[in-house]
Amino acid sequence: MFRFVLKRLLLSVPVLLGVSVVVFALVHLAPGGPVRVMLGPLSSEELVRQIRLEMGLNRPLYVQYGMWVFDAIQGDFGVSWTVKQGTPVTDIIVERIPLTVELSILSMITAVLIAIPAGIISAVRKDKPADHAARIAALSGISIPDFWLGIILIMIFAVQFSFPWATGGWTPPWVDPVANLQQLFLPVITLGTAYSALIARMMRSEMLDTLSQDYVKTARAMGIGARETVLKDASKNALIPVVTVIGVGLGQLMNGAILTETVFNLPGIGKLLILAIDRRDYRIIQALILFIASVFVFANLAVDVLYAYLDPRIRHDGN
Amino acid sequence: MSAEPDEQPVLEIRDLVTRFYTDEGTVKAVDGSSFDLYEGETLGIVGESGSGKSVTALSMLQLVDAPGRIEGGSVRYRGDDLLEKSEAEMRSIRGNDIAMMFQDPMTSLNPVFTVGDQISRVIKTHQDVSDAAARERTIELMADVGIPEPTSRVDNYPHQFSGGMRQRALLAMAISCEPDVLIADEPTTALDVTIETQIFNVLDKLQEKYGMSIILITHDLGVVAGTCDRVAVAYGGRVVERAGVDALFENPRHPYTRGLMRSIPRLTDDTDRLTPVKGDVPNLTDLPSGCSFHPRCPHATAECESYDPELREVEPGREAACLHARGYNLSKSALETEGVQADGGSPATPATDGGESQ
Repeated sequence: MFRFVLKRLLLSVPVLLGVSVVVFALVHLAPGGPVRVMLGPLSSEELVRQIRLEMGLNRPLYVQYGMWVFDAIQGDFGVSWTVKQGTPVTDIIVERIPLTVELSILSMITAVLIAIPAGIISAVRKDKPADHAARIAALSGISIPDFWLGIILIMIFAVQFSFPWATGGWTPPWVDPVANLQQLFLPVITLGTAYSALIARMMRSEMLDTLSQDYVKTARAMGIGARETVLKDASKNALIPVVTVIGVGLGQLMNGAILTETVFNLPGIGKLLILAIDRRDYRIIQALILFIASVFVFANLAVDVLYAYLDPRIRHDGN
Repeated sequence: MSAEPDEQPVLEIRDLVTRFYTDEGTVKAVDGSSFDLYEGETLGIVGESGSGKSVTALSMLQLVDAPGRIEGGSVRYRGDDLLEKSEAEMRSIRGNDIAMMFQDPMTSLNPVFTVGDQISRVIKTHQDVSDAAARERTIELMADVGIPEPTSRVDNYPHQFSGGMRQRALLAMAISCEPDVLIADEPTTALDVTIETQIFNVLDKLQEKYGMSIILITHDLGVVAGTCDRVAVAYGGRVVERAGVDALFENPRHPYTRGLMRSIPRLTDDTDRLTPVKGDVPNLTDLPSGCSFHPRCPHATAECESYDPELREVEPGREAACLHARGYNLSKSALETEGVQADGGSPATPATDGGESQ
């Protein structure tokens, strides 16, 4: 297992390098630039050229990329140009990570806690009212766009009923846990809904498959109760592919966080990314995308490790 | 080890009816099946695929899932009707008094639990024993069924076992609580012939050791000849002939049984071709009128199309469900009224057969 993890970690290096190349290219190919943002649209061409020269933006792209990678490997992502001038990019990002991490984890936990039981019940009660209700809910959950659901929730809870739930901003849980949960309640529901629907659908179809397996029939024929075969025999087998979806979905959560944070005015990584793109702060964009890509890579690695833990067939092939 | 029909049977199945209500119509998977199982014997249930053999076995344990429903008849186990038991009562009977093993050893073990855990779980379900005792018993059972190095194999996962070893493990699971009755549904169909022989040898040894009665469901008459004491031939969801194994092979009474026999290759024959039973297995959603075999039967007459013959004694110790079977007595008037109650046939005299089967 240790060798497996090590191998996967080494393999993630070229992946992240690839990501950095693509992001770097995309960002620099986009029209406009940080200098225009800093100086405003009315500044003279002469001044723009001069500042570009000072910032090194006139050099060939591969040189800029090389310099950036060289620093980045040492953990230095430079200082922000336009979002928060002069502050190290790393500081800006680190400051905003806890919110996004909390939002993602809470959304994930909520989604899993709703989706797994819903999927199981749906499968056990196949074609009965409970199943239809769960399936309709899941289909709606997948179809409704995050940002729209967020706006509707704000309209209902914050505007109509004046609950103090969409105040924007973020109070760290270690400062005021109650205020923290109030602020995150609606965003978590917004972000967790689609994710939950996806998992529930997957869990349902996997359960339908495992429930009809011979080993379930065998367990029943040996006097094991129906409930136990559902919760133990069928569920553990059904969870194996579902865990993959959950892990890969972690990446999706990051995507969703960008929209959700914008809708709810939460100062997290997602909102920072939008801001940085808006102001062409290349350094922040690059560092952020690299960070999000790393989360993807490590989530996948975690899924594979968990997969091996859940599925003995993989565990033993590995050895 | 011949059957002793004087005794009370361990299991008495009468007029069992199980139907599946599907969108395509009602499937009469089991349509009035009757047979007995006596202490210590091996009863073979033979028939083509789709003759309702497996559903019969599942019905006996009330394991038929929706859209299937057991609609009638009785399954008496030592006098008690199992069809009237609650689910909780059935749970304590399944695996404990009556155990069942299935066709495909590759899929019948749960891939995410160790073989040992799966066996000891059955023991712990039915007996109040410690984990350590259950594990010890599991290792003993694994040795009993011929799994080499049981002390280390007990912690293996199913994928580390070959097909034959998995079937042995399933056998160990089935006998773990020393059941009275073991129902083996095509236990060797998925295995090759050498393994098949090994499994039957183990089964034989275990039967002797634990004194179980075995119901062996198979489509293979060769297997029946080698292992069973008595045979029930299933067709169209019911039993059409019951006899001791020797009597059946020497002199099959039901035309369907005769047809099956002709479809087995024999070393002593010099014919080039086998004669299969002509026609197809009847569609269980739409069984033919009268005797369900009549469309395929070479001896069918007009009566066969309208009269549905029940299983009757045609000779002491054996029964058949065919108007034209030798010894099948049915008066003309009975034929017309259809009101005849065949006695369902617990054989009253000792069978004259079965002495040399193993």
